[in-house]
Amino acid sequence: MRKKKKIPHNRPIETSPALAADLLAKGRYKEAIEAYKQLVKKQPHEEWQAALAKAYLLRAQTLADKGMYKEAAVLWENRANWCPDKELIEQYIYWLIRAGRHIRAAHLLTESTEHLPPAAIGPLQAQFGALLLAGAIEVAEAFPEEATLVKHYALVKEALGAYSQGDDKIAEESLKQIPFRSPYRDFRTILKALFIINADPNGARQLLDKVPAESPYAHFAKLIRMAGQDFESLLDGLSQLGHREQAFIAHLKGWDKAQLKLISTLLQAATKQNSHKALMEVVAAHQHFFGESDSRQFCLALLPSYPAGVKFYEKTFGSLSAYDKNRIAALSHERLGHLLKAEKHWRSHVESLKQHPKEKDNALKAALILRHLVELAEKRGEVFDDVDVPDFLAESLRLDPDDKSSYIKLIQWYKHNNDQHNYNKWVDTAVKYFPKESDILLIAMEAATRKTAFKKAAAFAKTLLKVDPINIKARQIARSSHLSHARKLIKSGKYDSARNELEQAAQFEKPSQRSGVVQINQALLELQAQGVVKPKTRKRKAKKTTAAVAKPKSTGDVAQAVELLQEGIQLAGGGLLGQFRTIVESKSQSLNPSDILPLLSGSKKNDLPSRQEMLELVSLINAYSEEGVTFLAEAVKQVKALLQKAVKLEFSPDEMLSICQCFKKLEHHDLLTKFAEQALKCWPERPAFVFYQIYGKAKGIIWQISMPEMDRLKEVAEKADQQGDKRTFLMIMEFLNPIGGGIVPFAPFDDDDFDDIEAEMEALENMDPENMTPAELMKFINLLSRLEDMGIEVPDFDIPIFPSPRQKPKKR
Amino acid sequence: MKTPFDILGVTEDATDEAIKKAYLQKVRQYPPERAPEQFQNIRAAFEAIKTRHQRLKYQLFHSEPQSLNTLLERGMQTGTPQRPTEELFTQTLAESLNRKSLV
Repeated sequence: MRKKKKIPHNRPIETSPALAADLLAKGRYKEAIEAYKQLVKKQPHEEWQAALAKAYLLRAQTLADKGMYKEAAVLWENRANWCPDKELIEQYIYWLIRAGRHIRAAHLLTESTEHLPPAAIGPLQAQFGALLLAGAIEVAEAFPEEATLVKHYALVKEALGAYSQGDDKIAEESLKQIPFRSPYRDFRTILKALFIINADPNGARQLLDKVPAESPYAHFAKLIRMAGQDFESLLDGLSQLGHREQAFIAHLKGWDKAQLKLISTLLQAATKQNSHKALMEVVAAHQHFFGESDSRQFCLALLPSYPAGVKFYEKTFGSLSAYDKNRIAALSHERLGHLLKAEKHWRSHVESLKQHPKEKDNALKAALILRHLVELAEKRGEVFDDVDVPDFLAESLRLDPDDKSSYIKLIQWYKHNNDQHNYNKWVDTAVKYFPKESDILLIAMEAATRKTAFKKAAAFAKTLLKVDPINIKARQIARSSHLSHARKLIKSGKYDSARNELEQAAQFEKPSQRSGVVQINQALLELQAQGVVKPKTRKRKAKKTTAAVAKPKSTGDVAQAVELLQEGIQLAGGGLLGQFRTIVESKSQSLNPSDILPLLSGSKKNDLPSRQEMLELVSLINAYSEEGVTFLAEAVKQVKALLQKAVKLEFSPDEMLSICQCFKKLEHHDLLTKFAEQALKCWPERPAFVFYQIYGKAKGIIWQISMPEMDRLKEVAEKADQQGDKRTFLMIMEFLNPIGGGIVPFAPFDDDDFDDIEAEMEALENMDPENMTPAELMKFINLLSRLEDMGIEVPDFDIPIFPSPRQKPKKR
Repeated sequence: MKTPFDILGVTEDATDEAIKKAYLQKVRQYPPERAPEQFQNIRAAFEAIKTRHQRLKYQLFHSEPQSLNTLLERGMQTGTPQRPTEELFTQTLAESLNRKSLV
């Protein structure tokens, strides 16, 4: 191979004072030195000499900062040839020490005292003290015998010798003679810490913390502090130490040579690329040291992260059981994120365990693994789609029936998948097994309510309240259950039983927090019993039962009933709230509210509601909605006049949003539009209100939205997305794309792409509009409308008349 | 990483009672107001193994390798601390003085 020709670096370069100054200013000291040397050689200008000296000094410092003390010291000496001053001589002495030129440094210290700043002398003497203690005894010859450094050295040596021999008394006496200002002050502190390191580690650490960072003993103090650390931190630091430092620590910790060697071997193994393999081999080879049991445990725990080590493990410690092999394989796959493979091994593991059911803990282990499989499905986000989940949980409960959370998961699974039969079955089983557990009782109450088994729900609520008397939800459910049961009884004309139920419902309301609903229902019951009002649908049925036969009207009883109604309305908040409650409760008993409300003489039912009333009404509507009341829209219609007046009240944006949301849910488009328009006056272009306004005006029907409104919706959806208002963004998107995944009427953000319009037209032309689905038809109409907007002539089509939009199925 | 058994200083076949006793002892040693970090570790360890169910779960599903330190700590507990000789002292000090990081 041909060698490259070397280009000489030190070719003389013609220089100028400006160039030299520039090099110096830019920190290119090496080149600045060369430039100034040339200049000074030509003409020994004083200014250039000073600049040369400066360049030398700065270059020396740069090298020293990189730990190149030898080179730094040489540069300082070269500088002295050009500049006789002794600038930074203390640094030079320090560099000499670090470069190993101890004698020269010591002589310089003794000879240059007058050139040294007084503050530098102490630290330099401390450096020489440390050198003496580190064995550089020749240094002592450079100092006069009477120098403190020499005199105190003898005392420190004596103390050190005594410490090593365990003679603390002599050691302490020697240390006492060393004054505070001695060059050995920091060493004295270290020795004191060593005296107490085993008896009082905290005290020792506090002493060691006193050694300053710039002291020559700083690293030594750090080393000793390390010995007092916990094992984990100590091991981390140990690998960074030299042999003697490690040996020093080993002495302090009481480790012998073999132990120290083993630590070193293990630390080396841990840093290897295939560290698990290396560690297993080292531990297996040192079983005599760690003990067979600990070594086996350690290696076994390595196997899930190093499954290839199974063979080696079995060779060293004996065969693994089929259980362990499956467990290791499953865990190993889990670590790699291969959850389905992991599941396969766990299933095998369960099978192995079930084959030996009498072995200790096998049934419980199998149950735990089956539950773990459900957790894996949860991790995959597939728990409700995985048809094995209920089998896993049911089997786990057969093996270990004592796990409440498995019952809850199983019930949730069946509820989510609308399997009413199994849902009820497992709720019953769970209640039998945990008859006093509040979370199970809450589930049981919910299940009973779903089945309209209100009596049962109330019984669960009572049990729960015995266990947890302050459970608010239980109180609410108990009250609702009694109320619902009472309504059932009223409908069948069983007024006495209904009165009893209502009394029980009242018991679940605290006297200070009565909602008025019980009193309203009691009043409605009495009005029916007195024959003042009659339900619309069950006149014939009522005649059948004797209890249902209306008593002759008694003026006093009727007055009492009306009084009770008024009390209920007041408790419900009076005004709008009371009126609304009466309407809903009347309808719940199949009564016509217009028969009831006129009975309330002097009620101010047309007063403008307050802001607070309006907000409470929204909460009340939402609460009724959660209970499953489905005629809320109709009920709201009866107070519409009041609500229209409430539009002008002052609401915060959040309050306005919840009002709009409520009316959207009820499909009260007029009210929704009015409130949204009012909101837009206060907060123009706020995406949610723009949407509510357009939605309300179009009565929630997408094809009633004009193209400009459609564009506006797209704009505000984008704006909501940019503003991080995901809720509004999704609400608009859901409205614009009601048929998820299939043919969508609009694709809001890619409608600029008209490339495929012709192709689509061609395809649609071949279709018969009479046979199109509503979604296809909507797309078709929009396409035609857009083409017309773009000035494209479109053929005539016979568009079928749209059926009116399907109303959402009503509940209750 | 130390195992919960190591943290509480109990064997893997310890009973519920033994584990609770060890836990209470450790809490007395490291009360939350004086040693919050240690207390949290102790509490977490106790929660992980306090019942037979939890111990079995730990044994079945815990897949982290044992800490090397724990293994060594067990093996290293036998020695008695010694004072370094004067010679070792001198040599160690020399080694530490030669470290560049000393500056």
